[in-house]
Amino acid sequence: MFKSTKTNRRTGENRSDSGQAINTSSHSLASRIQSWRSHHRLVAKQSIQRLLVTPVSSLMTILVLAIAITLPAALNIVITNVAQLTGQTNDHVQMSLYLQKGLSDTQGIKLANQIADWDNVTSTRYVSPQEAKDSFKSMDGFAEIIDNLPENPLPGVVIVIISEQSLSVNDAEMLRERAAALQKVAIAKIDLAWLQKLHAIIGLAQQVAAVLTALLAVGVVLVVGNTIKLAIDSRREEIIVTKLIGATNAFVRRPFLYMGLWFGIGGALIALILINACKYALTNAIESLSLVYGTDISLAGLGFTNSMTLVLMGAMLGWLGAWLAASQHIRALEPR
Amino acid sequence: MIRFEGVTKRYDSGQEALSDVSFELESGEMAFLTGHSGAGKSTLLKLIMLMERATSGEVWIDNQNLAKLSKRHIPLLRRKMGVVHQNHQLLFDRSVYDNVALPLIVAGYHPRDIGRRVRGALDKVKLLHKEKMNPQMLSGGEQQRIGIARAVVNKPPFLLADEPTGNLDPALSAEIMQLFKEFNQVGVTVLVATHDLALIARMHHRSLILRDGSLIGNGATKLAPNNDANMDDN
Repeated sequence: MFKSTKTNRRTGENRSDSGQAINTSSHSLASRIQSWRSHHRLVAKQSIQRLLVTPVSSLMTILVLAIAITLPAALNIVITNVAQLTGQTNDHVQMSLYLQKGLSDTQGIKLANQIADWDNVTSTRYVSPQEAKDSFKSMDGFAEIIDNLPENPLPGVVIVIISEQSLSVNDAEMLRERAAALQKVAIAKIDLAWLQKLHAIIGLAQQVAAVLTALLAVGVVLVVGNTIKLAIDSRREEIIVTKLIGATNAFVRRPFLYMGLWFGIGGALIALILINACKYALTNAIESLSLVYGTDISLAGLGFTNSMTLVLMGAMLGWLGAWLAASQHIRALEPR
Repeated sequence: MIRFEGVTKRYDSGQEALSDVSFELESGEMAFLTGHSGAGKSTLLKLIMLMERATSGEVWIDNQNLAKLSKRHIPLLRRKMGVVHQNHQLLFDRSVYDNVALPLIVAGYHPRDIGRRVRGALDKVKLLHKEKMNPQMLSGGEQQRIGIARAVVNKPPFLLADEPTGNLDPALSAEIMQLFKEFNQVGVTVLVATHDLALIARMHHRSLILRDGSLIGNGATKLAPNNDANMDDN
């Protein structure tokens, strides 16, 4: 029977069925949904007000959350920046194909054009033996030696610039093997050692960041969960009275879930401020570094999308922590 | 309708609070539940509100066997019952108005209806002028009346009271009983647990008498059933 009395309107019908004269006004589904939404708005507002009643302790909790969110976020930014730096040095990832002796410049240019069409190759350039000789001659001390040689010992070279996608060590190695197999190529050289090292380091850093992110996410959930548990304890009496009056667990849980949500969002917002402050503080250092290396290094921040993602993640973790604490402790609080 | 069929309640401690209790309260009836303290009055009320479950036997409310009511549906059962507690269970962190509005908010009433109903209930207990006050600032009798307003604000078909006049002087007690009578007259099923025998004698309603967990009297003081004309003489 209770299944059929989900709305008070129906309850009213039951009452009039048993011949009683209690008048209940309409309590339709639409009005219930509207009141449910207005209750959510009210609870959302009240839970913020509750946090503001104890500003210091609320701020403390939010700061702890902010630091826990800042650490992995900052580490991820560092990794992103390092990866970007390697992207910039991509221009220097080049393969040198030393051609067989005796090939004409025309054949060399033809080969360069042919390789330029390969996948993962950005561009190629043919360096004729003469050109190579000239560039040697321009170096101090080499000019005399080169001039004294009976003939030009240098082979023609095709310089292959590898495109960004092929930065993976395997792709680069495959490309080298393919070039080395060409009949006209004597030696194909590519400096992979530093690439391999760099990739290993970035890979390791990404794993460390992933583990740290997971650990600190658990930390955020636990901090919020513990805070919400204390909030529930301090409102025991209210929860019991509300349950006596017919509140569902969901109803009782709602203000605590909002509280967790605000904690998460607050922590993420403060984390955003901390991250941007760090970025600002590092700007000068980066600029001088950029001067020393003569390249244009700029520090990538979070950007709008990532900032929004961070806030969303904070909100979700806060909500989750609150939900875990609330569903556990509120179920246990039954009127006796 | 409230029906007990051979209900026994034994607590985990082994204490048997109710032994084989059977009775039926018709819809729209008003009755007293009496007996010395510890006789099982509170336990009986708790079984109706599902604060406790019967060890054996069946409790029926409106043709619903409470033993078969899942935990999820307990809140819906409780919304059908206004409960007046001896210690009134008011929340002192909010105004009188907000205390009385709580059952309506819990049941998901539209905000538009809430104000009207709360003021209606407060008017009924003659405390409309104190809606903005904190219940802590009110006297014991006034707090009890706020508790009653909260119990009836969503017009439940059942009204349960556990020692509602426990701490009140006779004049206030009579006033509160008069309120219960008025609710009963508009069709609410009322069950009042009290040990105030003088009050019961004056009210001429059916009495359920408990002693050591057993029902030893059922309707004995029902002197003038369905006719309480004598009441006004008191």
